[in-house]
Order: sequence, then C-alpha cells, then structure tokens
Amino acid sequence: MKLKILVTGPYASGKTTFIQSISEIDVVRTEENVTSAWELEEKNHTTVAMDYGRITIDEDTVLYLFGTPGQLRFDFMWEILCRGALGVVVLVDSAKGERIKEARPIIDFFYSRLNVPYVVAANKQDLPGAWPPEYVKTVLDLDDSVEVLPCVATDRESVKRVLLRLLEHIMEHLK
Amino acid sequence: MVKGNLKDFHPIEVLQLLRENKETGILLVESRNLYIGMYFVDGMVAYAFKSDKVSDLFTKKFIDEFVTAVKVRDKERFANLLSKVKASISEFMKSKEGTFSFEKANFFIDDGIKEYLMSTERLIVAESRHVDDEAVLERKISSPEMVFQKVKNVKEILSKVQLEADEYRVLDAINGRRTVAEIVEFTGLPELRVKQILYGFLCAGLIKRAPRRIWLADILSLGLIKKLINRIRGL
Repeated sequence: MKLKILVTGPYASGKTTFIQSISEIDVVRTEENVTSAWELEEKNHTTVAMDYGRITIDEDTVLYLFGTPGQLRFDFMWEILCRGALGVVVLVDSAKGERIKEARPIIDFFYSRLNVPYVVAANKQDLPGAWPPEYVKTVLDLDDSVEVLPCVATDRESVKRVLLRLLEHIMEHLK
Repeated sequence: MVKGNLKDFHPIEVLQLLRENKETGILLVESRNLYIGMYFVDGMVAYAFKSDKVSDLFTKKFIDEFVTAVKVRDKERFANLLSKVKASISEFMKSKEGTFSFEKANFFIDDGIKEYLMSTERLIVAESRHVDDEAVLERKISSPEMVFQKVKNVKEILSKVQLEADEYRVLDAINGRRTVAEIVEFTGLPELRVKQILYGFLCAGLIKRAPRRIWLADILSLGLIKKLINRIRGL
C-alpha cells in the first residue's frame, strides 16, 4: 500500500529540507536555477515539479512525502500532487515575519480541494527573532482544527514531532 | 523580541497579534523619525505616547503617571493624558511605513485600573472602517470561499465595541456556513464594505475561520495509523 503526506508551503520555507531530514532515500528533486531577484535573495535553486522522500512502514506499506513547489505559478502541480493525500504539512519561514502570510493563498488552495487534517510547522525556530507559533497562527487566521507547531526542518526529531502530530490528528478523526 | 515592517503588516494586524495573544509589554514603532510607544496589558492598550527620542519610550514614568491619575481620581489629569494617548494611537494607525517591534515586559496593573484601559477590539473595529486598500483586506479575507463563525464569547467582545447598523447586518449573516460571497449577496452591501467589516471582526476576535469538514480516505484505519506512528517514532 502506498500512502502519501503532502508537504507544502511558500518558496524557501524548508520543504525539501524537511523531507530530506526524515526520508530513508535521498530526496528525489526536480530543481532548476532561479532567475528572479527576490527568489535569489533566498536561494539559487527551486523545486519546479515536486520532491519526494520515502519511509518504509513494513513490507506492504510505504509512506511517501511529496513536497510541492512553493511558488503560485506552479499551482497546476499542486492540483496533481494533492490527490489522495492523508494529510498536509504546511511549512512557513517563521524567522521572517513578513513571509508568513505567503502561506495563506497556499492554504486557501488546498482547503478548497483537500478536506484532510492539516498542521502548520513554524520552521526555522532556531534562528534569532523567529516568530512564535502562536503568532504564526494569528497571522494566518487558522481555524481551531489546525495546530501550529514549532519546527527546525534540519533536525530529524523536530520533523518527527510534526509528522506524529499530523498522524495523531488523523487518528482523532478515525476514533 | 518580535520585529516587523509596516509595509507588510497594517497597524490593525499588529494590534490583532497583541490582542489575540493577550500580550503585556511595549510596542515600539519607528516611523519617519518619530517614535511611538504603546504599552499593552493582557492585550489591552494601557498607554501610548510619541516622542522624537527613543530613550523616552523605555521609561516607566508615563504609565505610572497614568495609573496615578486614575487612582487619585484626577479627572482633569486623566482627560489630558487620555487625549495624548489617543493622538499617539491615531499617529500609529496612520503609519504606512516604518518598523515595529514588540518586547514582552511585566507591568502589574490591578483590576481596578484595568477598567480604564482602552479596548483594543473597539479600536480595531473603528479603524477598520477606514481600510480601503483591497490588498490589505485580501491579506485576511483572501478568498470569496472563506467561511467564518462567531466566537463563543462574542457577547463579551460585543460589549467592548460599538457596531454600526451595516456591521450588525454582516454579523447576523455569519453562521459558520455562508461564504464571504454569500454574505455579500445576503446583506446586499458592497463587497468592499463587507470585506472591511469582516477584516475588522476577524482582527478584533469577534469571528474566526470556521473549521472544515474532514473526509478521510476509506483505506485508512486506526490500525494503519498506529502502525505509521510507531514506525516514525522508531526512526
């Protein structure tokens, strides 16, 4: 059985790093160099189609983590990638308060297509001046069903905590 | 300390952050060589003033002056201070550029004084009537498909604000099922006005986004999710 969790969020929010931290394989990336000035301020490459990582659960079950491109111009890929996902992790760069709101149109997009549990990971909490998760929740005006968790995507334990909370939310809906 | 730029956050959104998280501390705004300091207690505006010297903002004497005026029931002094507070807040609400930072601090104000603090909710609702920049409104009311519901303690918040007739119409139309587009149709109000009202209500905490109905895939079972949880725990 193949299962899928969607990892989404704005450009340079740490989606590929998040998947890489927990995947048992090197993340399969579809990257291109970036050319626009504002994108270059963050990094010099970007996911254009998807990233994916894998966690083997047992001999019959595999969990895939699919990372979406962050820019709105790739939303045609979001449509394809969201099909059949069990849940959604939305990453935001909480070290840059002004960039948190970029997650909003992404959340609106998936909300209108995917009625599964979501968690928001306030990433880069290890950086100075990072906005606390409760501020991220306020900026995004999230409903009570969406938990915002502190996250450091380079730290496997932190990534595990985010995924486990998402799975626990899914479990609550199954009870 | 949390920092931001007023190009990215409307002053109302800054107030929302501090109100919703019931913050106590000092908001420092630097805009065109003018410094505005706002003291918050449990998310309520306790005091505000402006100065051209940043050092002024970190002296406690201003808030002490305010508390003393209340305690000794010096009406004239209180009214004088209140007009300074309102002028400073008005300056802040007009700021479209500059930076802000918020530093938590411990101000102790006894409950008797809290009655005299300014309602952040009232300020937000009143100021949101002047927000006509669609880009700002769409930061919060980002989709016509959004659905809102009233918060549980809506009556308590209503006691802190003064709504106009069209704002009551919008509030009555919010039922946890109607979308923004349907509220526009239901109330017959212009779309911009409805967005303005919803923006104010959301920032003031009168309403919140309604939770979505969750549909899980048929293949999912409790046993399968437990298996995933155990595997990830063991990684």
